[in-house]
Amino acid sequence: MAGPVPLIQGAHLLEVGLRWPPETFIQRKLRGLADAGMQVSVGSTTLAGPTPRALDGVRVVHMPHWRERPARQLAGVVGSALRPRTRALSAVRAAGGPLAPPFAAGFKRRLGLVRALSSLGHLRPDIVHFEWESAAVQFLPLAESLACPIVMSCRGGDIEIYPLIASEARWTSELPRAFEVAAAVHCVSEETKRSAVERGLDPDKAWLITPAVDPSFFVPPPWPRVRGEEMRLVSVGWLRWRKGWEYGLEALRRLVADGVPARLDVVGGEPGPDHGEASELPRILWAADELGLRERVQLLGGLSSTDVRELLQRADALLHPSLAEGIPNIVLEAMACGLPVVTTSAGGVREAVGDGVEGFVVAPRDPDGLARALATLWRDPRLAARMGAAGRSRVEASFTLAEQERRWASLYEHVLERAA
Amino acid sequence: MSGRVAIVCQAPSRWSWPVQVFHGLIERGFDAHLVVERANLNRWAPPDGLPESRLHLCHVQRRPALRAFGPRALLASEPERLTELALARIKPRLVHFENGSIALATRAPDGAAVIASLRSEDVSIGGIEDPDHFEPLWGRADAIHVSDRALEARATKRGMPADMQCAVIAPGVELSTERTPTGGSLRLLSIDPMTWTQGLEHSIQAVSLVPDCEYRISGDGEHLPALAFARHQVGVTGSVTFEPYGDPGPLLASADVLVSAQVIDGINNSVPCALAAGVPVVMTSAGELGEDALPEDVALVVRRRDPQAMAERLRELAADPQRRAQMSQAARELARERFDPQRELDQLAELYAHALT
Repeated sequence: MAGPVPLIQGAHLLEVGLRWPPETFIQRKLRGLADAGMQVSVGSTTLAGPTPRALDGVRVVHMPHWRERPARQLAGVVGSALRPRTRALSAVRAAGGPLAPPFAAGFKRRLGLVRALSSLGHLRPDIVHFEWESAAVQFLPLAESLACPIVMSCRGGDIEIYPLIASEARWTSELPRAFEVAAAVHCVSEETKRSAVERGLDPDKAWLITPAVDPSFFVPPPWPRVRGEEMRLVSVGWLRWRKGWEYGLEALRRLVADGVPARLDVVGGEPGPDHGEASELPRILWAADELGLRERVQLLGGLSSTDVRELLQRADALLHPSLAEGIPNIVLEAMACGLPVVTTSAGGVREAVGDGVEGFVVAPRDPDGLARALATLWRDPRLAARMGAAGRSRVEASFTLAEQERRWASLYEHVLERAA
Repeated sequence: MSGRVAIVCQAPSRWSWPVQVFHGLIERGFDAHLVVERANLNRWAPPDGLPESRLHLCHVQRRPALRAFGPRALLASEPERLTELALARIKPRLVHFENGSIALATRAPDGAAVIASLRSEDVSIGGIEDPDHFEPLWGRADAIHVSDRALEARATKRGMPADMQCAVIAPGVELSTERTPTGGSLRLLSIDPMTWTQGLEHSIQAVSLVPDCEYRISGDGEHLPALAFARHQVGVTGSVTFEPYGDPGPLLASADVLVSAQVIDGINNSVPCALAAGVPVVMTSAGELGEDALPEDVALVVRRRDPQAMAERLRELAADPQRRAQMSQAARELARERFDPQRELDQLAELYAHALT
């Protein structure tokens, strides 16, 4: 973290509702804040079994999920009452005190929150941060009972999708209250901010902090990029419908039909229970099979940052067929590696990629447009190289981790100042 | 031939294949029983008109308190074993599994003949990561039932032995609907589970390219958020509506065209219903050997995942009411000829007789 920022030195940040281990970009953020002198704790609902809990300078605490069966929740509440005094008091306070009114939503949720508070109540944070809108909605009463400023993030995707779904009516109706209670709201892009303001966010509370990458880690390959016999494409993302995998495969089919001998490496894990949606793996396998792409598509699962970097360095282009986004980290990582990107305009992508500058930006659900853009890159290696270089420059100018860390520090400092 | 037959299925609706076949078998003198796996009464109610003595609900879940506080082992342990216990009590001579996933997970009692119906989802994507997924079934089944040639071809690709008896029996449909006359805009309809296999994102995108039309999608499923987002993203929120599954008769009576954008193999279940109701169809190709499954005078076939092509066909139909009327007439005739319920039952009875011998 660059430069001393006195107020955040020693301040205690509690991140609530993260899966563990969290996404790489959140890990980087947490490590950066810990290095800058903040105490960082994480309350995770998915911490279980042999999952490693270690992250330098970050304390990780398991908080039960409200979706657990009530029998287990009840047992947990009883258990928490038998624990040291601070936790028991927190739980009792939560059950009958400030948490009571919003709990009309349901017995199960109430029990879950009481248990969560019994896990986190003793931490006494200075700031609570929700990295996802859904976590803010879910755990807002808990954070309020901790009596400290609340920060939440809007990362795109969810805020575009959830308001359209009847089953997420609670999410939609409670989001404005989360915005109201939050001392500051982090938005990953102007587009995300616009959506959040439409949903009730006071624009004065919005902090634009874009995703960022470490340009000393994601670097162009040390070897010259030379066109091989096949066009090597990479796509990275969770295997969720919003990533538009089927459109990417359809684009690959059209590209191959156009005479470009392309192959695609797909990197990404299957969604977990906390995502609340089915894996796209069968759909991807079926589409690859049916479109005659079985030999051209390789599914690699989730990979480490080092492995992703190596793939990006060896590829000819990043294919990002997503349907809903904030600003995707993988696009920035590819650009940092000097790789031209072919992406959709979902969410705030245009704020990071200029169409015809760092790559090509086409409308979502347009496999023909994606295929045409890829073919152009394949047939014009000099253009591809130019776009790759432009991407690297853009990241160095606007999306570095150092700048992002400065912005995070400013945000937290501002919140602490106001609270003081 | 008659005998005790158990049809094993999951949460059937009044209009679903197992219930229709069950009634048909009773009428033909079979001692038919309907075994419902994972009968979650919180989300499903048995269709009316099923005699209690012949309806066997397994792994019943109905009490929230029991779900919340009951022993987990009792609630979650292997529902298929409970189905096997029910089958052991019924003592059928023949067990007909409604789909491949049930057939793979559940064992019939010793001595009972086994028939498994393989549906589009089974042969297209069931266990797609495992090339040997269906091996146990090929070893256990006496016969396989599919509803069209495209599915037979896909089953063969999935390893169905050449000497396995595979009966291709077209589904029977009986629908008498009075079509309401077209008002202004073109009325499009899909009756599908809301899963990615139905390609509804593509049909929604196609509809965005067709001026002056309304599109109803009747169904339930986990892919609804993706469909709601597609509708919003392509700008047809006002003209595309989602509704739960309903009686296909009235739905089809007020539709001008049925749309099937299915991306897996086989002819969509709703297509024969639409033809019987005299509703022209725009559909995606059914797969290998299924390309010519329906003649162009009743159904216009387009490539899968091609909204532009689908939109073009829909615009053609929108502009030509006379052609729609001709297709409607031809559709009814074709349905009478190809999707006759009595013929389906005859063929099933023949299949049962063969399996029992």
